[in-house]
Amino acid sequence: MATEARRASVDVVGDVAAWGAHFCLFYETKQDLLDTLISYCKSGLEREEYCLWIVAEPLTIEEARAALKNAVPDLDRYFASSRLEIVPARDWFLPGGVFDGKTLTASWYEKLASLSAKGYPGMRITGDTTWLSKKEWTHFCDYEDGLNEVIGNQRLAVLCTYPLAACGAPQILDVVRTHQFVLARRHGNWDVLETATLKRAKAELKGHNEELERRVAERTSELIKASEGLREAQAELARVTRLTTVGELTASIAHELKQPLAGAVANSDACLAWLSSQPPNLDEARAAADRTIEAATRASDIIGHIQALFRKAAPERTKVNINEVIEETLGLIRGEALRNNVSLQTELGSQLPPVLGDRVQLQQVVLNLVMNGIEATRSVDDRTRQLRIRSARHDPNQVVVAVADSGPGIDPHVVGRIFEPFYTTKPQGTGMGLAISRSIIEAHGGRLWAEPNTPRGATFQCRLPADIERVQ
Amino acid sequence: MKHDTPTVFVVDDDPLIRNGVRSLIGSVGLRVLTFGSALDFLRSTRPDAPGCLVLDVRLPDLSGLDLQRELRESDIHIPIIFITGHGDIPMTVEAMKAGAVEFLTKPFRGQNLLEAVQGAIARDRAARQERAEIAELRKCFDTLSPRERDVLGMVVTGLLNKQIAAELGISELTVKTHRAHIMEKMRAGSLAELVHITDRLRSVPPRE
Repeated sequence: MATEARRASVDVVGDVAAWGAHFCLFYETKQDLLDTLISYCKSGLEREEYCLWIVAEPLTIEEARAALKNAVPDLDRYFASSRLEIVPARDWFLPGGVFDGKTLTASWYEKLASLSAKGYPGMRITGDTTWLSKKEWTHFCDYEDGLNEVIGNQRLAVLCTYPLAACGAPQILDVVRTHQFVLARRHGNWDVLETATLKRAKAELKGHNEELERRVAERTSELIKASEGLREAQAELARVTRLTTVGELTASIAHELKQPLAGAVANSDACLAWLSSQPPNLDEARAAADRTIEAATRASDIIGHIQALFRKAAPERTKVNINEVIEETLGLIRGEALRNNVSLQTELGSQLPPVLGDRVQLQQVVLNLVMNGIEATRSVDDRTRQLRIRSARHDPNQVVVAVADSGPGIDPHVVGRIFEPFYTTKPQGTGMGLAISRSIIEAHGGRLWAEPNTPRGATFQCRLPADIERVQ
Repeated sequence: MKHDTPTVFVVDDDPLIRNGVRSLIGSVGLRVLTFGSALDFLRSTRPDAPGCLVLDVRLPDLSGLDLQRELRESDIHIPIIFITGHGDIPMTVEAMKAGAVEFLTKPFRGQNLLEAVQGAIARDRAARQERAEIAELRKCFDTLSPRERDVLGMVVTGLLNKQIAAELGISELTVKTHRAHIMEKMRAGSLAELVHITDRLRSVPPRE
């Protein structure tokens, strides 16, 4: 930006945003000099920076001051606060009538130290060189060269101005060598010359930038690839988790299904037996047939629930009765709980407002929390294995579902991590269950978290926004 | 007074199955009593008649296998037919070792259950008969005097009267008298029968 700005126009000489710049201006006319320096100083003053203008013949202090006053109306204020100093070059460069580079450099250090102490946002200095004679040229060039070190990386810019008329080719070469870049202004037109060092530095910088950009691009594409891979892996894991859960649940579901099927078969056989007894007992036969139908209906309901639970449905937002979700899920899990000797207790709040959400996803969450709860109690042998599922209205706008187990509780060291993807404490766990559950709940505008139970165990709680308008 | 109407007990927490099985078994004229839990069954007063127990493996609170153990420990003899949603092998082995007579996997056919029930009742009837006979023999045995028991023990191992007399330091005649009393009290018609009776008594530990 700074480079572009410098090239653009007079105004932008003011915008020497590159601090630490030690640059020079070759000028043709007095007007060229004034144009440049007014712009340079004005811009600094407007930014509350400190400005030092070292003026040399043929320009006088008064002319400089008047020209600046035209551009900066409240100039006196800056003088009054010593934010602006306009000093004659002979006083500055030739104290005692001789040029002494070393003393001058030392006095720069001093000056800059006292200015820095005042905490200006920046300092800009400009000095003209018309006073310079041929005999001092070499010394002055050494001094200019050393100035680069003085400037270092302070918030300081130094603009040295040289009259073109006084400079031959060797002088111009010297000036170009000792400055970071060169401006030339001839009758109102700008030229920017860059020094070889700067060019090299720029080229190097450009190379670095390109390298950096290349690396950034490379790394970005790697990251994109990795995150795509991660997303795929997550999707795959979510699927596997589902399948694993299905696997774990198969025994439970099979039992749930065999129960009504056994009822249907037993009652059908009983019906046949009553029909073929002598004489046929139609009342008993009818009762058995009724129970057969009931059993078959129950089997079909169970299949419906399983389908609802595992079909790949697009997320939808419907009015969901959370208690129904809990009861349906518990219907599937009951066998599993029984097998693990876990007593399931429910405390479902009455007249809960509905939740706007995806029924299947919410079932997945409840299923996951309950399965986790059952697993958590597996290690419990000295007390009742208990799982309490509670639903309630939490303030008027929220519905809360809590699953509390009597297991060993969550290690406080890992409690912060259990919702992280791939984090698991179970040998066969994928570490995705809670992560997916939380993302589902959050997608519903809710929150899912865990907290310890007293005296032991853990409670997983989720809060979901209620669909209030509909209930009223 | 004992009555001989066989009774089938059904324990299943699922009313559809409970009632289906009750109806099924009732259709062949057997008496059926149903229970929703193992504890209900344990608390019930059961008729002293031949019968069997149709028992679901998975039950709330006390499981079917727990009930089987409980009954065995309480010395309650009743043949058990297990019905289960999925009979895994270890579970089946455990149940059969513990004396289950049948293991039916749900859904089971009515005929299979009825056959199992009939078989179990016949088995129970025989077992009850056996237990009654042994109890009767035990009663007879209990009437023997200590000396008669000594003599009985030696007779059934095949010792001659002379040897027993020498062993016990009594006369051969006294031994003969004891033998006669023993045969009478134990209602044995021959030495072979006496040996058989003694064997049966030894096969069952005396009840306290």
